[in-house]
Amino acid sequence: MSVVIEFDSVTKHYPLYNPFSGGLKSSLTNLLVYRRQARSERFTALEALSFSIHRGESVAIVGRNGAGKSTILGLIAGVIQPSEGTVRVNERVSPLLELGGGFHPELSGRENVMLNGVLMGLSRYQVQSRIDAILEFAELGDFVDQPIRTYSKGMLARLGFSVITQIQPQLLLIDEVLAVGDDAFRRKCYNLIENFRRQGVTIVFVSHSASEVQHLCDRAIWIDNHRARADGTASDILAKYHKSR
Amino acid sequence: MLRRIFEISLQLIIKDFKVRYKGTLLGYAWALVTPLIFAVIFNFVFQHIIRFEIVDYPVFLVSGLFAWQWFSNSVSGGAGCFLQNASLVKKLNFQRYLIPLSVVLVDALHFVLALPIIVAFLFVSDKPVYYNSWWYGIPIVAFTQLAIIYGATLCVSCMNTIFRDVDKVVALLVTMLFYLTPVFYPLSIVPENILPFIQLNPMTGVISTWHGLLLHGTLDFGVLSYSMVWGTLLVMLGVLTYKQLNHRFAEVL
Repeated sequence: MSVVIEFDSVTKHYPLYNPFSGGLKSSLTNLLVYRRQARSERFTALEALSFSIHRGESVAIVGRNGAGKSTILGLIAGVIQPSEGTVRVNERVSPLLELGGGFHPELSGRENVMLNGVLMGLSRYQVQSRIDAILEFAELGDFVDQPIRTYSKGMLARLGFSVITQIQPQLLLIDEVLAVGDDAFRRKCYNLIENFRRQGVTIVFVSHSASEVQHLCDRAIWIDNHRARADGTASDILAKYHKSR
Repeated sequence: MLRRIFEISLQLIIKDFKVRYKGTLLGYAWALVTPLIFAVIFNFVFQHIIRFEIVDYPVFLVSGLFAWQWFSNSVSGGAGCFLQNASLVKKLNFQRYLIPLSVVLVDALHFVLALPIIVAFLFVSDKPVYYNSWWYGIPIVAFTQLAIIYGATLCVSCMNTIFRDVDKVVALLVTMLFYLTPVFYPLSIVPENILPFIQLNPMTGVISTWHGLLLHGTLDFGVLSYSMVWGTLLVMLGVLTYKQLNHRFAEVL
C-alpha cells in the first residue's frame, strides 16, 4: 500500500510569547537578543515524531489536551510548517474539519458553502450545482441565510461536514467536530465516514470519544508529552491509554 | 492553475463585497459619498478660506480624490486582511496572497464605478467629457496604480499579521503621503526646491497623470514613469515579504 502521509522526525516549536508583542520600540531594542531569546523561551508541541499512514487507513490520534494532536493535523493540512524534520503528504490535501474553520463569521451558511467549496478546490459552477445537496445534508432550515456567527456549535459542525459530502476527498482530517452534533446528525456523519472508508479514503481523526475511535478507526496513535507513546490497532491503544489515566 | 486563481479571487471578491456592506444602510454608496464629502471640504477650505488660483477646482479635486481613495482604502484597510480572515487562513491551505489582492480589486472596482461621476463633473464644468486617449490611457494608469497598491498592501498586510503595530504606522504614513502627493494641489504650484521630494512619492506620478488624462486627455509618461518604477519595486517587495512570512500566519493568528 502506498504511503499517503509521512512524518520524519518532525519537531514543532511555537514561540511561547510573541517577542514583538511589547510594541515596536522594545522589539527594536530587543532585536539583537531576539534570536537567542526565542530559542530558549519556546513551547515544543511535537518532538521528533515519526510515523506513516497508508492509503485507505483510518487513524485516530489520541492523547490529553495540549499533547500536540491539533498541531499534527495542521502540519498534514499544510497550514503550519515543521520546525525540524519533514512532513510529506502525497495527496491533494483536504479540508481540516474543525468548528467554524474555513468559514467567515459574517457570511451566511449558503455564502460560506460557496466560499469554502471554492477554497477547497471546487469550481464555482461545481459548488453551485451541488449546493442544494450540501444544504440538505446540513439540515439548517431557515438558518442557511443567517450569518454563521449566530449559529450554535452543532450547526457549525453540520455546515462543516456538509461541504465534504460533495467534494470527494482523498484525505480527510477531522478535529473533534462530531462531539457537538446531536445523535441524529452524528449517525449521519458515521454513515458518511463509513462510506468514505469503503471507498478507500484516508482519514485522520482527533477525538476524545473512545466509542467513536473504536467505531471509525482501525489504527490509533497515542501522543503523550509531545511524542508518540504507542501506535497500534485502535482497540489496543485505547485500552492502554485508558489504563494510564 | 490560472483558472483556480481566478475562481478563488472571484469568490473572495464576492465575499469581500458582502462582508464590507453587511448591516450598512447606504452600502456601496459609501464608496462614492466619502470622496465627494472630502471634495466639498477641500473646495470650501481652498476656494473660500485660502484662495487657490485653480480653474475648475471641484472637477480637479474629484479627478484625483477617487484615485487616492482607492490607494488609501486598500493600503490602510487591507493591512488587517489576514487577521480578519483568520478562520480561513488557519484551516485551509490555499494561495493566501489572493486575500489582499481581492481587497485591492474590490477598491479598484469602486474606483472604476466612480469614473462616471468624474465625467458628470466634467460635464457640469463645461469641459469635454470624452478623449480618445482614455481608451489606452485609463488602463495604463490604472494598471500602474494597481501594481503600487497591491505591492504595498501585500507587504503591509503580511507584516501586520506578525507585528500588529504596522497598521497604526501605515495609517500615519498614508495621511502624511496624502499631503505630499498632489491630490488637492497641482504639481505645477510646488516650489522648485521641494519638487524632487514630491516627485519621489509613489503616488505622485499616478495622481498627476489622472489629473492630466481626465481633465485634458494628455498622458505624460515622464511623470508616470516614476510611479511605474515604484509599482515594480513595491510588487517585488510585497512578494518577498509574503515569501518570508506567510508560513508563520497560522501560528500567530
